[in-house]
Amino acid sequence: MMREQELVERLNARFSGLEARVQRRQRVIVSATRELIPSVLLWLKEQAGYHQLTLISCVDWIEDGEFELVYHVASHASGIHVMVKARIDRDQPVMESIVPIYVPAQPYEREIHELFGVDFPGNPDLTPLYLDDWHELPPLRKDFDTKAYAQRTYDYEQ
Amino acid sequence: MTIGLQIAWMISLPVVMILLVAVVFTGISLKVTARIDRRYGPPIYQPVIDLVKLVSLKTNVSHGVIFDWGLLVAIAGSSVALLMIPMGGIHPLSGSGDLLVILYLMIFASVGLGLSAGASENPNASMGVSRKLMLGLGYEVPFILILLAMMTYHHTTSLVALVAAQRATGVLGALRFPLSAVAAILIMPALQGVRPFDFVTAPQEVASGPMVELGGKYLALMVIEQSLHTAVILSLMVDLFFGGATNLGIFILKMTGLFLFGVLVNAVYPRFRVEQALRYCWRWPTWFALGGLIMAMVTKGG
Amino acid sequence: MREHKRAKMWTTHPYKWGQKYSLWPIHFCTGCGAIEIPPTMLAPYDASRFGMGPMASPRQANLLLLTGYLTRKTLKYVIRTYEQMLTPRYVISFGSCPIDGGLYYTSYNTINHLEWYLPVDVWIAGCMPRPEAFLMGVNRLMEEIENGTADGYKRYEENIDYYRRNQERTLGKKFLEELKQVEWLT
Repeated sequence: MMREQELVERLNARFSGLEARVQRRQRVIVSATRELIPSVLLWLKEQAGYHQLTLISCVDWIEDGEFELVYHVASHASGIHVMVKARIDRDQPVMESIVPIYVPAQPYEREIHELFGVDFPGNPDLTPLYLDDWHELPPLRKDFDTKAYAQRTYDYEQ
Repeated sequence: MTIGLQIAWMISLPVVMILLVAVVFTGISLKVTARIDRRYGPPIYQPVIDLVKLVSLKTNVSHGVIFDWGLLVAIAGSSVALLMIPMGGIHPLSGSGDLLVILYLMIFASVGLGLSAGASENPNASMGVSRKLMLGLGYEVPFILILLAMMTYHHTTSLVALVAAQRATGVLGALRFPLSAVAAILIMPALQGVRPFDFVTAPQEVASGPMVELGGKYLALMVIEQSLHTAVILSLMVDLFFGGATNLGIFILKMTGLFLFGVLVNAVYPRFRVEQALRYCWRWPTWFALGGLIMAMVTKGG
Repeated sequence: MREHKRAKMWTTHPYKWGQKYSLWPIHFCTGCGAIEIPPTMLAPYDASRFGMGPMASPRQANLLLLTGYLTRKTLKYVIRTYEQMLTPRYVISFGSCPIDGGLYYTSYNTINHLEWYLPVDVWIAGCMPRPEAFLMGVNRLMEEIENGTADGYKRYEENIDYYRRNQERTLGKKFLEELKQVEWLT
């Protein structure tokens, strides 16, 4: 059972190109490049015992022109929650699917594909979850004007 | 009985039983269940309001001829079965092979409902019908063993003779056949279709099973059919185990007692799964009924 | 005095008495307001005093409770459920989301005005309304049934073009075509 500082040291030693730090007790943040994500997650799952993928979330940094994907993994033995972050390009957002490593990642990637437009080659099923007949921008992007869309679609003049 | 009196009873007895079970018994069960849940519950005449509403709906969706006639077949079967059971001295249609005919007619209820549900083009209805037939498979085994014990001991298949034998010796059927009586009490909720055996019309699992497409007048017919079936079961049990009665009033009182037992079990227990219900029916009730049958064969000498 | 009024209504308008005191809501809980339905049905608020008992199938129910927001997908199923119910049927809308969008009025997926798609008889405001407010709304519906003004189902049939136009605009042509193909709806 590794504590936070030991995990940070081992990650920094094992991988070059990533930066790990302790945010507070039981919280570790790892900033990695896009190509390193599958190996980091595989190392965390097999070597360090982080068997639970809690969530995959996506942040829209519109000024930098990038999306940031955050993978939240947790370990029951140590109680530590690790957030692995990776930035990907906003105009051609493609990220390798981690379904072979963590099988429960499939619906999270499906949701991010639908709401942000990020493509995950390798995911078995990327059909829409919530929206049907959607022909606009992916709705959670920051350049999607949700108020104008709602007024146009649901508040139109009769 | 004169022929005129027979015909009068044949017309009025099902009506009396429908009014009794569909209105009075259902109202009592709603009120008792509500009081067990520590709330007030609807007024006792709530089933009347429900039936008036069901009959007065403006549109009625039908799915064809079999859909309409299936329910009527079930009602016909249950009414004739009711007329063959002696109720406090009134038995317009009794004959010599009563019990076997009654057993046969009780299947009509399931068959009629199955026809109607099959014609309703809804997969929930088919699931409900298969559950109903599996429940029948479960409770028929101990039920037939109980009836066989009674028929073997008294050397007759006539219900009137069974009731007369209990009245003559003064010993209730429940005391003369204790093992069979225990088996009957154990499968009573299954016969009535209440919890823990109400998975046939479970609203959460199969969207109320065979009744899923019944609305308006058809639902009113279904209520009538269920009340006739319950009346058949209750009166059969009263005749077999509690000695029948000399007049209709006391007979109805005994039916009420048995019905309240079902209501109390219904209010407290959760629901079985289908395989759990089958396992339950084929274990202890069957052993008890088999024991009762062996005792009946041994004591009377075959 | 109340029993006297009830008895008088029973003799003059039996069907109104029946529909008023035997409202069967369909067990279709949409949106966050559905959390207020179980406390109302059980002790101590006890909606079954008024004759309300939840029913599992739209063919058996005559009251549709829309508790909370409706997404586009849910609206499709709600319209299909509403058209399967047998007339006379009533709709009670719960919460502020069906009135004008409520908390989600700028959301990309929730409709803002339920009145454009389905006829509503009673509106209950709140976010969520408490069980007492729900029972007051049910009592209001019962009064309207007695007066004969709860005619949402008649309005739906008379103004069907208006409703279909709005449904098509929000839900798309494909939905209306699917609706037409299903013959067992009415």
